[in-house]
Amino acid sequence: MSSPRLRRLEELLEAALWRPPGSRRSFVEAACAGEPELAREVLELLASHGEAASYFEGLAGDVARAAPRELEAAVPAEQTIGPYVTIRQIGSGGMGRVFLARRADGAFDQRVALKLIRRGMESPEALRRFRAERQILARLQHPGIARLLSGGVTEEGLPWVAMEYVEGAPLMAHCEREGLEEPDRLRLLVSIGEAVSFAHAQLVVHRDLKPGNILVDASGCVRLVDFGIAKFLADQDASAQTATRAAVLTPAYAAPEQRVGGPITTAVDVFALGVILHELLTGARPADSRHGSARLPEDLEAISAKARAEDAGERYASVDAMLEDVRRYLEGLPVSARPTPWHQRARRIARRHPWPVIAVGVLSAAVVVFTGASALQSVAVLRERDKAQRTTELISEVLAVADPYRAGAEPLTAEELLERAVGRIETAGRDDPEIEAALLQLVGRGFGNLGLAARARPLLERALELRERTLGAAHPDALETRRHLADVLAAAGEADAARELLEPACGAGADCVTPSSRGRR
Amino acid sequence: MRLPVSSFFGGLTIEETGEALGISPATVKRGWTLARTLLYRALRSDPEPREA
Repeated sequence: MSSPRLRRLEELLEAALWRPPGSRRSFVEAACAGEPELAREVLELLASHGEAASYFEGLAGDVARAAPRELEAAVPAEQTIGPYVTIRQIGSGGMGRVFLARRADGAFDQRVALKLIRRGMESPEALRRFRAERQILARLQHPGIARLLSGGVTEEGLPWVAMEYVEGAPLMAHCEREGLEEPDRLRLLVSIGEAVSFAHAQLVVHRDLKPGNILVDASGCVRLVDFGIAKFLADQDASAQTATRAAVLTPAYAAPEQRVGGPITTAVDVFALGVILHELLTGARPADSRHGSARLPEDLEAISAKARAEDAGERYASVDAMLEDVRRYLEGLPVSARPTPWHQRARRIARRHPWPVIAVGVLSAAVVVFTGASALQSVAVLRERDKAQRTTELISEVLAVADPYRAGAEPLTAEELLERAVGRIETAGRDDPEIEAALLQLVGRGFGNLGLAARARPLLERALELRERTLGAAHPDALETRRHLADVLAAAGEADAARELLEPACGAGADCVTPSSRGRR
Repeated sequence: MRLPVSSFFGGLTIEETGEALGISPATVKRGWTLARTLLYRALRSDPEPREA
């Protein structure tokens, strides 16, 4: 549109607007006589003029509000910090902001995570400490730890550190995405622990371990970021004499001593690992889990609990000790956090040797031994305690031969186990027929459970004989042995003999059951 | 009257704009009235693809 024409439109529009609304149309038509195009245009302008006015009035406010947001996202300001130039902000938190940055001189292709720390240097002392801290952290060279590359202080006095930029997913997201099962998650924890342990050996405590600080890269390796920064910040706060608990950056993973500003040791990292173990496997932190939510297996629960003991002295002495237990769990071995009674160890042994029949046999033997131990308890009540002790030790000894913790252990079949036990019964029960009977019954039932009736029978017969002699045929223990013998006979196909055995017992007041009606125990 | 015309004029009022451009405030106002109306109509109308 030409300038003269624009000027005419301007004048006409303004003139028309001066007039009262009702008379504008006739004015325009008159003023534009002979130029219908012009008149039409002016009338159109008049029609939308009001809307235009309010539109632009509102627009200014909208733009003013949106501009900072839009501008920041679209065109991030590049900052030069040390030898680096920032590309964009990739995070922010209590400690400051994190940028993705590159070298200004393009000397290396490497990208770094540049962390600009919120708190300025308050004194030359602080500066010196910051430098010293960086020296130590720069020495942490481990595949599981994002390396500290460089550091300094900006002109405004803000400290910064440049770290290896790790591209990876945070721990929990990675596990979700890959649908990792328990063993794989535990292996990740072990990797995490190994990195932490390495740092501890260099006398560096992480202080702020949490799933958000643990990334898993494309090859599935864990990378810890933010190592030791927390300590520097804690020192800053201490010197500034602030009463804030800013030193505790993530309360959920912080050990009790951290929360009250107490002395920080490697134990705080052990605590955090305990929380992480729980979260890794259940998806929730211990504090957040409720009854009914996913529970850890007992051993893992014990490991996590030990790592999270309120008293630092009660926790694992080192991350390595904790990892030892985790590794043991992965191999199906007992963990130190939950020492197991010997009868449960027998059960474990059965699990570790998965030959079908034998496993059942050992399990049964273990169950038998367990119930035998209970029986022995009642014997001990009647007899002196040390005799029962001796018997318990006998059984432990027998089982201990198969204990993988003993050097030179060879795996035993249940049968061999029981044979060894038989060999020892005479010795253990020599001066005590009650104990001898109890042991004979124990081992006899063990053979019975293995289906070795021929081996079981003589043992149980002798046990019955002993008990009847010493306790009387009507004694509950004697009746019990009678029943067990009947079971074995029935299982061996000698139903008549079994029935015969039980008939007198019925008369004596025992539960009247036939062998066939008893479920296999 | 001193009316802030909005940030489209860099936060200047009509008077200030006139001074900066060397024109009278009335001229500024007149020009702005037309301009925004034209602009508004252009923004509101559906752009029609033109034959190259």
